[in-house]
Amino acid sequence: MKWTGALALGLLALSACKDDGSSDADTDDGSTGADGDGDGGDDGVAACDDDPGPGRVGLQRLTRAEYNRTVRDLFGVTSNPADVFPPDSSTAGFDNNAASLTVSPQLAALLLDAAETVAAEAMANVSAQILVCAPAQDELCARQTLQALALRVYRRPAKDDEIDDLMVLHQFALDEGDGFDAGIEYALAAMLVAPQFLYRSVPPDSMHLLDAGQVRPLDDYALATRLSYFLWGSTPDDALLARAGADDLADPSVLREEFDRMLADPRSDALYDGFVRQWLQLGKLGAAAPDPTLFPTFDDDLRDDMLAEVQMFFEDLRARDGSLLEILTGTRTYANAELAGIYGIDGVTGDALTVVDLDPTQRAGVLTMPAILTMNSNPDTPNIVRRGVWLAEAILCEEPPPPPEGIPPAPDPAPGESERDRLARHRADPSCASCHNLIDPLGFTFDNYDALGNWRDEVDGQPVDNLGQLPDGTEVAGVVALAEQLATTDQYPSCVTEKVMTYALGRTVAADEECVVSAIGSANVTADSTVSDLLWAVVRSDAFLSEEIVGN
Amino acid sequence: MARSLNRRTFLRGLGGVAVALPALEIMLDAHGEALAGGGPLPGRFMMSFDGGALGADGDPVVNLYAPDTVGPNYDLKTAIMPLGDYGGIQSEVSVISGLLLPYGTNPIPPGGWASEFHIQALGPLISGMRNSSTDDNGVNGPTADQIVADAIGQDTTFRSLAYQVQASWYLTQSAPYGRDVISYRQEGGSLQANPGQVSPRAAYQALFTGFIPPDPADAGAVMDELAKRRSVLDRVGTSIETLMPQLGLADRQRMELHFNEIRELELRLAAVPPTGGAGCSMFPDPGPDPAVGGNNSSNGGSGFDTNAGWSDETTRARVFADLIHMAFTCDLTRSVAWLMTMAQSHMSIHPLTGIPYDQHELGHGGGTTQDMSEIRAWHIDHFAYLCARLRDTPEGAGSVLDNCALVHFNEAGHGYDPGSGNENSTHSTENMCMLLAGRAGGLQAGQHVVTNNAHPGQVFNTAMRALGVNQELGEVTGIIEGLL
Repeated sequence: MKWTGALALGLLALSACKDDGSSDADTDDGSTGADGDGDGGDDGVAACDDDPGPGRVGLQRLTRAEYNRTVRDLFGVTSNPADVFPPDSSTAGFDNNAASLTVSPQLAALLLDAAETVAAEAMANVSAQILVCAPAQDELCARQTLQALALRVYRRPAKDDEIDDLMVLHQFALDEGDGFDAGIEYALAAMLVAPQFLYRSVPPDSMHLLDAGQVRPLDDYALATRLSYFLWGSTPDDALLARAGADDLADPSVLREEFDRMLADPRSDALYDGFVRQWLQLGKLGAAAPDPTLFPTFDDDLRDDMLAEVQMFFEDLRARDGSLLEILTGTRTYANAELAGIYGIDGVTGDALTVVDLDPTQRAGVLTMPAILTMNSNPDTPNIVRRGVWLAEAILCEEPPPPPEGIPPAPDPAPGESERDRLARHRADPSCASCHNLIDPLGFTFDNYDALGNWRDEVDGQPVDNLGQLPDGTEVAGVVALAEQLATTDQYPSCVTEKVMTYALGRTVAADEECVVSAIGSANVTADSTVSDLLWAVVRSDAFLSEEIVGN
Repeated sequence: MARSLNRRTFLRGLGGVAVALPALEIMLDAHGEALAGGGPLPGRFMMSFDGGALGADGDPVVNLYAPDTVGPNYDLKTAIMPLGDYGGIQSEVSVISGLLLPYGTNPIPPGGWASEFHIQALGPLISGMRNSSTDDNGVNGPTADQIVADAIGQDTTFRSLAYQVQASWYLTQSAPYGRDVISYRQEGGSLQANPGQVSPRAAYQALFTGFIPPDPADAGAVMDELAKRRSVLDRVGTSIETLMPQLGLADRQRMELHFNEIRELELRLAAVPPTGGAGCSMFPDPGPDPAVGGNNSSNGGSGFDTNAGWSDETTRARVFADLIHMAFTCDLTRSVAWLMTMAQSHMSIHPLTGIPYDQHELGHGGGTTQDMSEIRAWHIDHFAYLCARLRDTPEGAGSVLDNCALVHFNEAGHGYDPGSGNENSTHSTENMCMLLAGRAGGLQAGQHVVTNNAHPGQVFNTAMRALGVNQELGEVTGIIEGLL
């Protein structure tokens, strides 16, 4: 498909969905119980004309980060054994997308190494917990031990034939003269290379015997698993597994209790490491290289401080359970002396970051943080295109495709030519215009910030030229005005909802789900709603609670 | 510690049952020129790929690759300067110039491409099969390494190996249209892409699994470990077989992939390499892989981030060269596809020559044919290093290189681009050059042969013929005259 076609199609799908669903969403006060989305109606989802169904995720292998957290939480193994695995590639902006999580030959070999390491460390760390019936060392005890282990490692009870398989290994160790404990260790290593561990939820029953297209609620263990990898980026703990074992999670009040408990748990920090960092593309800051003669204060410490500011902003937002609109409009953040210098704030000293209030005429939440502005800059000057692309991708979910084959890069500036004029020359080429007509006017609004994020009123003796335009044609001057405008439209609420759902489900959100996404966003990304409102609405969505059977 | 191969050994099977492997020891005949059983010494094939062109856009200097003189002792221009190093490795390496990968839309010529260079030319180059239509971007036949592997790779531990030096596409998303794959295998009715191993560390571990230390006590411990690992994998494989029928189609395909990897790993753990010459030994672990660099911020020029687009490919290439050397010396495989840089490579060349561009954009306004040739030389230096190591490793009456046919080739030449209509374009398959090293089957080494627009596939055909593989690459017939 041609890239221009893909872009047009994406916009079309989004706007078509808005036409169908936004008026319904506006009138939905969340009190109706029969809104047609099959979930009891408390997530604010209005009836959308075409029910897209919950979609199918497919077997979802643990990412490197999820693997590390999982063995940490299971066995206290903190050596991050998955760090040597090949990097997980991303789909739709997130590395936990099932579509890209396959097993390659190199990964298979490394998985075996890691499994042996983890099994040995686990036996050293927590053998007292693992060897539940010690000192008995008979076959019955071995089976009990493996059953208890498998429940935690497979995130569901093991079936008898699965235990039989593991018992063969245990017997192998006895035959070799390696002993009872070694037999448990070998079996544990086998569990850790098994699909039941490496993929989030390998079904215990025969999926293909059900009718294709049939929708069924996730079983409690699969739901517990999806919930814990969403909120913790890690495996369910014993308490959650116990709830699943008692078939309690179908009860919304029990699910809510667990949801609240898990959000309050420190493991929910993974929402930042797993979700926010990828959503905002913060990995790009690692490659930023501001010119040392122009920006002598920039070094790796300042780079880390910039990231720390973003992290502390989000920690604070979650701790207060604030509104997600603060990402656009917040003026309260964290800075140390060097970051305060960029923000133009006096009186902040030292290396530690502390709360500061920013000038609301100059700053707009995350959009104007030094981390975002620096990572989307050239070494010496702001990069208008990159800033525009970032805003389009992360905040508006307008995904400009990469430049197509055979299209030359933007021309070098002519002598004395402004950046705006140079890009106008670029857009004069029709093949460039269709994307850059969207991107460039977004990027222009950032003209008040130099390559490190310092505020400026002039560029080379000329007043800044920060006039830009939103995709809907609204003209805005500067990022503050742009953010205020965005806070009043549906596009940002839809976009942040789409990002959260993409991460939570581990799959790309389909075009026919835009209506549902938009409705959840409109109801839960407002001045009066909170971070946890949105997370809960996602958990309560049909897409999260159920799955679609795919036939043969 | 160097471990040499145990020439005949046992592996214990599951449950402690001793299983004697068939004796596979290879004995040379009295002259050291063939096996005692009468067969010839094994031949080896390798193809290495450089995803760059020989000249720069608009530069009238066609290339600095083809020598001025024909025959032996040819002169060395910038691109092939490394052949003057390594103790005169030039005498083992032939240069074939004047090659043309044909193009045209009405009709598309045999073994040729239509008009979209980066998208359409790679398939015909590696498969010898033309684009099936002006809209076809695919690869339409098996590549030489896989044809060779089917013919002579059945009895080695690895049927073939594929390695990849450039660690990332270095732009957002991943390499489109298979620009990162040069090896395709015909399996049953379908053509399977065979992407290269990117991690030198993982390649190292995979290659040397199964090496048994000479000390009996060490050997026993290694054997125990192997037996344990195999039994673990055996259980996992059994478990997957049980699960498989429970899954829907898409999941089952994914699980089959997983299952195949587990089973292959298990087989490799069981297989002790059959033999090796005196030079066969395990070299020290190369350590963790160099970090994978970030994506390029721009294609080149003032906004180019000189810290991105680079994952220490020089070190990565060196480890892979050492692995190929040992894989051949130990006869662990007889066919290798070695992708150095991807087609339309966006690897930064700043670490190599200090010019702030990526490899592809260097040709589109960032540099001259001279600048481009220095990047070709970086690739050819790795090729020359490998040739020299194989030359310096004795086998039979000669060296391992004497039993090799090694091909080095580029994505592009330099000349007319039918897509844009430009002359002196990087998007051109005119004026291509290739290298062919080794003396397998009586190959004439160290020559410069000028062809009159021969198809690059004829160089592959020459290498295959030297190895006794009497098959043509796709639609390309015949070999390069004067080399065999």
